Amino acid sequence: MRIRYPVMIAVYFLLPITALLVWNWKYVAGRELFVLGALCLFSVGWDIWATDHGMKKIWLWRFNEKTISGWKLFTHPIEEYFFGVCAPIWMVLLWQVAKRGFLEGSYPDAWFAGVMVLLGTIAGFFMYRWQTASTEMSHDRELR
Amino acid sequence: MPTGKTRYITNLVLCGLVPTVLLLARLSGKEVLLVIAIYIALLPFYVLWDSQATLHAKTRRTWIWEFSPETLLGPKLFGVPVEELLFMFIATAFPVGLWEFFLDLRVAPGVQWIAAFVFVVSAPIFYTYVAKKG
Repeated sequence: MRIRYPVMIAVYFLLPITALLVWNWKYVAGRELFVLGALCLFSVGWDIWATDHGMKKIWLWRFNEKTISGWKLFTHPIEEYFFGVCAPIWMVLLWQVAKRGFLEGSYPDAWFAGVMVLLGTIAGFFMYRWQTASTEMSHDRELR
Repeated sequence: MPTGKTRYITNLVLCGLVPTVLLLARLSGKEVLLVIAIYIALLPFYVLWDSQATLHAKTRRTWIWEFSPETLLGPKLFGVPVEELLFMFIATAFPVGLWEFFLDLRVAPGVQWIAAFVFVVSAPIFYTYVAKKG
């Protein structure tokens, strides 16, 4: 399935980012947005460099053309750019909530950070189960 | 120039861990502990993410990416290469360190600028000496 990687990014990152953005709305504005943008640029640059490294003769990792969308920008899968943007945004938003919650004594934020980590792990677990199951089902169909 | 099985870990340490540690050095002890706590709390999440992406299953067609066995040390934890566990720590701590660095940029002396310098310079150097020659 060519949507496998985009679906993973959506479940693992886009849903939590949306929830964290709603929760953090009043804390992410103006200068913070600029900083977030700069952070994404750094992140994407590093990630693309590392991916590019993977395309050489001696590679670190490589992508499966059958499970990515096929859209590319400068020879890199478009999903990798999304990952490069989503991962730092997600981490920074989680950090903001955790910092307020655990270092500044804001109990709602502490609970929310804990719930986000827990829900992310549970969603990941079900995604893992779903992928394993769907893979084995398609394999069984091929055998029949 | 790192070669063989140490290639990925060397890249991670020099391009990721060094700038991350420099960025973390300017945080308070409690903040660093919180970063480590977040990393530990997120480990199951990260392991699921990586395991799912590299899952080969029976048909060997469902993986999204795969690591080269020739550039990994070999040991795995929960099916994930140990290098990836280091990558996950960097993915946790580096954005946090850079975020705090950027927010305090106006009052940033000494170590912050070293961190920025190392980060900016390390990638092109490794691209030149490792990736291209690789």
